[in-house]
Amino acid sequence: MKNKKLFTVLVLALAAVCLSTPLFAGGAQEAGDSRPTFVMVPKLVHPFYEPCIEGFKDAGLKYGVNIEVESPPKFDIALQVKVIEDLIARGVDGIAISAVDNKGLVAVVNEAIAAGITVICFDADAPATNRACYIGTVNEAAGYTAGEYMFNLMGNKGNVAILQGGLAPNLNARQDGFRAAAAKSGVKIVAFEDFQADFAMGVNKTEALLETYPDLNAIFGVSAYGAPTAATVLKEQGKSGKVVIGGFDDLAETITGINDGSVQFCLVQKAYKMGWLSVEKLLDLRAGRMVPDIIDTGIIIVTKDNVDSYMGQVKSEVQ
Amino acid sequence: MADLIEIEEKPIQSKTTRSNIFYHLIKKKESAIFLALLGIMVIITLIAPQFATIGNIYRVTRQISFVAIAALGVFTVILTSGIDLSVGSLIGLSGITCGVAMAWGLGPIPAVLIGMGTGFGVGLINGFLVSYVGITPFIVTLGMLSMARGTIWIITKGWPIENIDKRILVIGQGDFLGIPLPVIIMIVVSIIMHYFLRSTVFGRRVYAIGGNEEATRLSGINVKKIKCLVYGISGLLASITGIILVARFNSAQTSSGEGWELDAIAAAVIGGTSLMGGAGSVVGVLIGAAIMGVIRNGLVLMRVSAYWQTAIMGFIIILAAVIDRIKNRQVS
Repeated sequence: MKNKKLFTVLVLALAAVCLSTPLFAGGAQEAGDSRPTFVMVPKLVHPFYEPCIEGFKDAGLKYGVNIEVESPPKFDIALQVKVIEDLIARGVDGIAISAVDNKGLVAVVNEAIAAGITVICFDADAPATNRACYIGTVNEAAGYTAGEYMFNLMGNKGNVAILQGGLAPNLNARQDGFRAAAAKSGVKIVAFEDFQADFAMGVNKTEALLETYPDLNAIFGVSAYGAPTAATVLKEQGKSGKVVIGGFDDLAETITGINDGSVQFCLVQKAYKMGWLSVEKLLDLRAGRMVPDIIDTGIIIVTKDNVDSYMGQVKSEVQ
Repeated sequence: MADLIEIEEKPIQSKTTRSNIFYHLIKKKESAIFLALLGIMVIITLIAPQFATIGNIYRVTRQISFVAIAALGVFTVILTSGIDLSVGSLIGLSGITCGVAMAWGLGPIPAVLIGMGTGFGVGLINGFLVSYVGITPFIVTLGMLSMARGTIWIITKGWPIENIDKRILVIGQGDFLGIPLPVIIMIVVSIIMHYFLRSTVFGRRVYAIGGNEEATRLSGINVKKIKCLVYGISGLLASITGIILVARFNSAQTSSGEGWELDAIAAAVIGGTSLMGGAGSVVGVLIGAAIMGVIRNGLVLMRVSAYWQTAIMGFIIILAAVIDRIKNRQVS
């Protein structure tokens, strides 16, 4: 008897949660709106996408476009495909995807295009699909630029270790570019470690690297946590500034490191520009104008000199 | 079967003290795994002598302490033949609540209590669902893994919390008599857990439930209450790890503890804990965590390729389990 009651209560609770779900969904389109609707589909919920979304929304405001963002809850190709399928069913006008996977998106992207939706990729490309264009960082070129800058700081000699968080293709491409730049300089890459995007593991690996290579001159972080984890250890060991540290992305810890001198530079992808250009290019495509296959948004090198102004710099490039 | 009433192994009528100790060491369930740890350390030192430097040992023991504390919690749950998959997320969530409390300007002590309260409270919810509602621990804690991690995203939107009260940093970065504070905390937690599990009525009942839950229940023991509390303890210990990580890294990371539940479970199992429940020891868990930490460090020091490290790690976990199995078959 008691169990039956409990069961009823639980069923009611479940029903209440399901019914209230629409309350959590923001930004629903108003009926009778003639403006086009463009939807951004990131890989997952992640701070990296916030400036992308900001640029996407700002451009939408300027050009009179309805803007929505639909993030899969986690990095999973099946979830991203489902999000796009739902958008096809809803009949939106344009989709900008940061591709979780290349081949895995082919069927659903082609289905979207067949349904009259304009599809482009931003941040992460899926060239195997029929997406109209890619807007984002060309990772190999970015890695090369990073290498050139770092080796210059090192006087084109000495030893460098690479810290990478995960063995994802985009990170591997950056690493390839970095290695290509090293081959042309006098700098030697003595170690490469994967810390699987775990802050604690990054610190552990840095500690072990410094133990193994006492003559290390620089540490390069291929992904976001690389530079701040290395800086954490060097600060602790009182070697801050004696080893050159640089890396991708402007996490708050990285910026703190640039300000206190433990990180020499970081490379920032122009995320705001990616979002902004996504709207512009989707509009161009819908108006039948030609758009290049790949648009390299480039990177900006952030040092102590421009650490306070680089965000504005990126915005002023497009606005 | 599992040792329902585990009696401290007594050396039986041995003539000399030396053979006494020797017998004791061999008879101990943990001996095989402890010898494996020593062997691994010797091999690493031979290939990479930097391993045995004071600086490196200092840092490796500190690295081990993070996982070990959380592993002791999961271990307690496993003793009741349950499982706790939510520890990784609870490490992250309690670190975040502790960080948020400090960002609000609450002092370090209230913040630590809030962090620990988060872990203990969510752990008790796990325990309630497992013991009083009767859902499988695997599903309850799997769901909680997502809920706790998701709550981190709701609170932080993915951004780390950086306004950390500087006074808390000593927990993660300080040391006492040359021993890192996280290691001292690990030792204190271990001693408490060892005493609690071996010498209190409650602790003996935890083992008893894992040995035979039905028999324990029929003997008039409140099995539900004990099982519920065990998950609370697991959450509490996870939160201690989470708070130490905040103090160690000077920020509350949203990805903190992601995937650590597997490391914690592996540490317990390598250390001889039976997933069927009822068998295992605190010392074993510590050795298990040490093996994993030492190998992770050693692979870098021995300059093993990054592409090989993960596979080697997995191989050694299986190898350790095999050694333990063979050894314990011989003893029994």
